[in-house]
Amino acid sequence: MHTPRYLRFARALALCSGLASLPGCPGTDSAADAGDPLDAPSPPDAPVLADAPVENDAPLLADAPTSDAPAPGDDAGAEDAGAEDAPLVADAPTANDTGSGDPCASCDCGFGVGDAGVPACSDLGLPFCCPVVGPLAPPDLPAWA
Amino acid sequence: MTEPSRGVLRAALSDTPLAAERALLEAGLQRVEPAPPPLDLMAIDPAHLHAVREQWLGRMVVEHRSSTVFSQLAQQLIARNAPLDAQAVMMRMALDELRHTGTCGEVVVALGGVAEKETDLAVQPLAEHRGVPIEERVLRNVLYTTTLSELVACARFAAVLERTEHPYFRHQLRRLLADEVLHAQFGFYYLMIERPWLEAHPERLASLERYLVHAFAVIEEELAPKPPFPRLPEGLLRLGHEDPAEAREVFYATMEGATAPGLARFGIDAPRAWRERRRLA
Repeated sequence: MHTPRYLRFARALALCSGLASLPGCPGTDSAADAGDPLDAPSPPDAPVLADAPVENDAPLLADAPTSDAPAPGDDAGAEDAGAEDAPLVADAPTANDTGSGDPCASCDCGFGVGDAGVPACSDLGLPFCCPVVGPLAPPDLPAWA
Repeated sequence: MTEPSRGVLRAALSDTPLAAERALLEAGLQRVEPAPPPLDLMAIDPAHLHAVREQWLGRMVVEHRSSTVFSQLAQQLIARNAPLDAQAVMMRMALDELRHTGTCGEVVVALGGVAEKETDLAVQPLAEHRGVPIEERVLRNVLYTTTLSELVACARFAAVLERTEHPYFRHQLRRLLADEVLHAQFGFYYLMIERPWLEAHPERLASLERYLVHAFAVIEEELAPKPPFPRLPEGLLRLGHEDPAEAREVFYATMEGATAPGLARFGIDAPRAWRERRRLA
């Protein structure tokens, strides 16, 4: 079964951060080239960071979590997205697409509700609260009664 | 909850030597060459341009708010008497969020906008988990912010990056992702630090697993968009715009396929906590 790149990437971060001898991280503590045996990522395609379709992307290879990152010359994914902009004029969004007709049409998308300190989409003035980046505030939970 | 404090967030610098000090910090920490590829606004559909600019403006607000989470968590690590590197890296992660605020502001300006937004500037206090010892209190907050929240952020960035074709937006996304990688890993490294303590306190392990039952339910509400989803134009997606349908898929795949098994490596029955997730308060 195909495992998406983003998941191989996340699994590498979660399963191989620091613990070299665990199953799934054979012989390395690298998040960059390891993963679950089910994923069996080959070194070229394990790190999504290595997907470098444009030359300027190359420096990020140095960011791989450990020194096991692929060499900057690794051209994995080079056949992916093209380096040039695709035409962007053919598919203008409708009002509903961008939410401009309904200021908070997708509030119930799940972003912004709850108690974890995420600003509501209405607060951000966005059609939906998708640009959630950075850590959410953890929810409080007192000790057992 | 802290009372709201409305104000205008501006990604602006002062005219003092502090700006130069900030530039030194930025230069020391950047992992991606800061100068982006050229951006030709005339080549972008105006409607797409507006949507993408608004998204980066939203990111700017969220990144800024996120810095308060990590900065408070750094204080908890100090109170925990955690190793100095853990304290320092957490401080750095708070700084990263401020740097990202600046990056997002740069993008907004490059897209023809103004890097300011009225928002609630009140700082919400970090969870204290009344009655829970400091060691577990910090663990709870570290795991939630990093191994849950930031790991999802990394996966989402990776998914967005894969379909983002425009070099300018790829570059700016990668500037953020380069730091998010460390943020996502922090919790797993911290578990290595706290492993002896956890092994010596099995009752706290059970308490931590109880917390995860609650935490998984809360983060699902926060980060798993619920259908129906708008159908976004392909051209917008190629500019790196978020896609809530994709975000939902990424969330569940990451929780089940990365976060839960990653925590299980440390003897935490996170897979069960995920299966049994529900709000406990």
